[in-house]
Order: sequence, then structure tokens, then C-alpha cells
Amino acid sequence: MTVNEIVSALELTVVSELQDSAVTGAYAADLLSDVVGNAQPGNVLITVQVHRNVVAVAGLVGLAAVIITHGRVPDSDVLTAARDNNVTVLTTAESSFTVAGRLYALGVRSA
Amino acid sequence: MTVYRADLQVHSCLSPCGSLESSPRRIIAAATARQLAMIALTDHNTTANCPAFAAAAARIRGVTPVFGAEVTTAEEIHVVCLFAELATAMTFGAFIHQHLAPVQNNPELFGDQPIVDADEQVLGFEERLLVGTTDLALDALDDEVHARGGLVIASHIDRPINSLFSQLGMWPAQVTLDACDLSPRAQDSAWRGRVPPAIPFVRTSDAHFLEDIGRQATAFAMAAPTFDELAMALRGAQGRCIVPPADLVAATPEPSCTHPI
Repeated sequence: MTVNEIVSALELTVVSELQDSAVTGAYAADLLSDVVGNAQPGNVLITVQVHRNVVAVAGLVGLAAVIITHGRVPDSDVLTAARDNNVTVLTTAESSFTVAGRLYALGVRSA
Repeated sequence: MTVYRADLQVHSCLSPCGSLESSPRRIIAAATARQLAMIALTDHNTTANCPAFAAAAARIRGVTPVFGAEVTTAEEIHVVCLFAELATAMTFGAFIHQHLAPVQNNPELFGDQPIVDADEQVLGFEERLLVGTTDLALDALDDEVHARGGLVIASHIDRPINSLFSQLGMWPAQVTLDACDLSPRAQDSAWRGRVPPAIPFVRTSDAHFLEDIGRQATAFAMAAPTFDELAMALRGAQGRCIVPPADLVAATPEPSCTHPI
């Protein structure tokens, strides 16, 4: 599964520049300390966290993309940081639960 | 300079998790008994007990009250916001109320949230759940407090719940906090590398019960126990500074200022 395929399947909105890459799995959390400790490189992160540090953490962990759920929209400075750091930020009106369920149904697992 | 001890984070009975015995009057009395020169009232997301705190402090004298609140940001970070003047704190309190999630308190689950006067008479109950979250992002709160002349301290940054690091994972760029608070079991050395060197560490009791007031405090070398002097000490300006605990133990008459600025 690639980021591009997930964007198409879940009809996600690309709010930074899309960097297509292979997705190794998914992780869902809003506490960025938990993401740093447990998410794996190549994961997509499912979160409602829109603080700028979500971009920093994505870079640190090497996330494939960040899916911001439940209709939340990051500020423009967060999106600027995402573009500057080649972090793909996607948004959706769906909840984290629904996004996780749909990804699971597509065969994405936590790893 | 003289060394003054200040406890910059204390909850009253108004905080849902605070003891009903923790009236502003008794908090001031406890501060006096424990020889604190300054004490801040910082209930969760409200300043409604600050008028009683001011009145109680005015009666006793000898302890400088600082007025504030422990605000929950949109990221669910607890941030202590402090002001010199009661009026400024009350205006800020009204601002916070507008940004606090409109969820009703359930006293059976969270306890009562009584607003009291300096004689411990109940004036009313805050009905909105004060342990809720505001919609103010950390950056926005930081700017707001500074625009009102206040000080911003990230609470218990070492804790796994509601702390800057638990919520954000790492130090965020572009915030201008005045200090970070560490819990009793946290070592300065364990956290120094994660916080920019210009930002000092303070120790507060975060007391929810009277007996905990001053359990942890910060010693400041200042010309007087005032808010402006406190702000200078946090910046390490003009000879004011935070006095390291080791210097206090050694009873150094002129404490050395080790603050990096």
C-alpha cells in the first residue's frame, strides 16, 4: 500500500505536498510523546493533533504521512513547516476510529 | 538581594480536584506559616477565587499574592498563567471562560466547585467543568498572557499526563515560556537537555490540599517579593536569579546566580 493509494481509497484531502511512498503500517494517537515512542518508520499517523510538533515528530519518526481527522485543519504555519520538511499532511472529516477501521479493512496493520 | 521563597502553583477548593478545606484564607495562612514570601492561586481554568485570595492576603500581609490560573490548552497541556494585579487576572479569567469547553460539571464525579469569599462563605458554584479543555493553542495562550503583562510557566513538564512533553513529544519551536515547572521526583539534569537553556526550571507545590502548600517551592534572590522582581529573577536580570537548592542548603549569604542568562 502506498500513500497515494490510501489518499484515493479514503478520499483524503492533501493539504501539503504529497510525497508518495510505501506505507509500512498505521498508528493512531494524539499524544505526540506516544507517537515518538511507538510509531514506526513508514507508518501513517491517524490523529486529531494539529500542533506544529506533529510535523516535527513525523520527520523524527519518518512517518509516511499524517492523517488529521474529524474535520480539523492545521494552521497555515503548520502546513508551511510540512512542505519545508517534506511531510505529507492529509485531512478528512471522518473520525480517527473510522479512518483506522477503513485502513484496517484495506489490509493496513500496526507495525 | 534577599532570598525569598515562592510557591507559584496552588489550587483552592474551586478546582474540582482541590480539597474543600483549601479556602483562599487558609491558603494564605498556610503560606504565612511556612514562611513563603509569595504564593500564587492557580485554579484550573478560572480566577474566580482570586478576589477572596487578594482580600485574605491584604488582611495578613507579609505574603505577596500572585493571581492566575492553570489553563488547559487545546493540546491539553497544563500551563500556569500568572499576573501581578487582581483586575488583570479577572479580565483574563473572563477571557478563559469564553474559551473553555461548555461542559457542565457533575459534582458527583468531579466534586463541587465553590466560589468563596475571604471569610469562607460560599458565594456560588461554578457550573462549568473546570477540568475541561480550552480551545486556545499553546502559542495563542502564550501570546495572550504576555500581551496582558503576565508570566507563563509550563506545568509539571516531567509528568506523563497534561504536560508539554506528553502532549507535544518534544520542545516546540516559537514559544516564549518564562519557566518550566518540575515535579518533586524529577531531576533538573534529566530535563535540562530537552528545554532551551534560556528557560529556567522552577519548583511549585501544585498543592490541592493545605498540607502540601510549600512542599516544593522556588527560592529567588530579589530586591523585594514583588511580581516585577519575580519576572526579573526568571530572566536572570539585574542580579536577580533563581537560587539553586544546593546554595540554600549551604546557607550562602550571597547566593551565586547560576541562571544561564
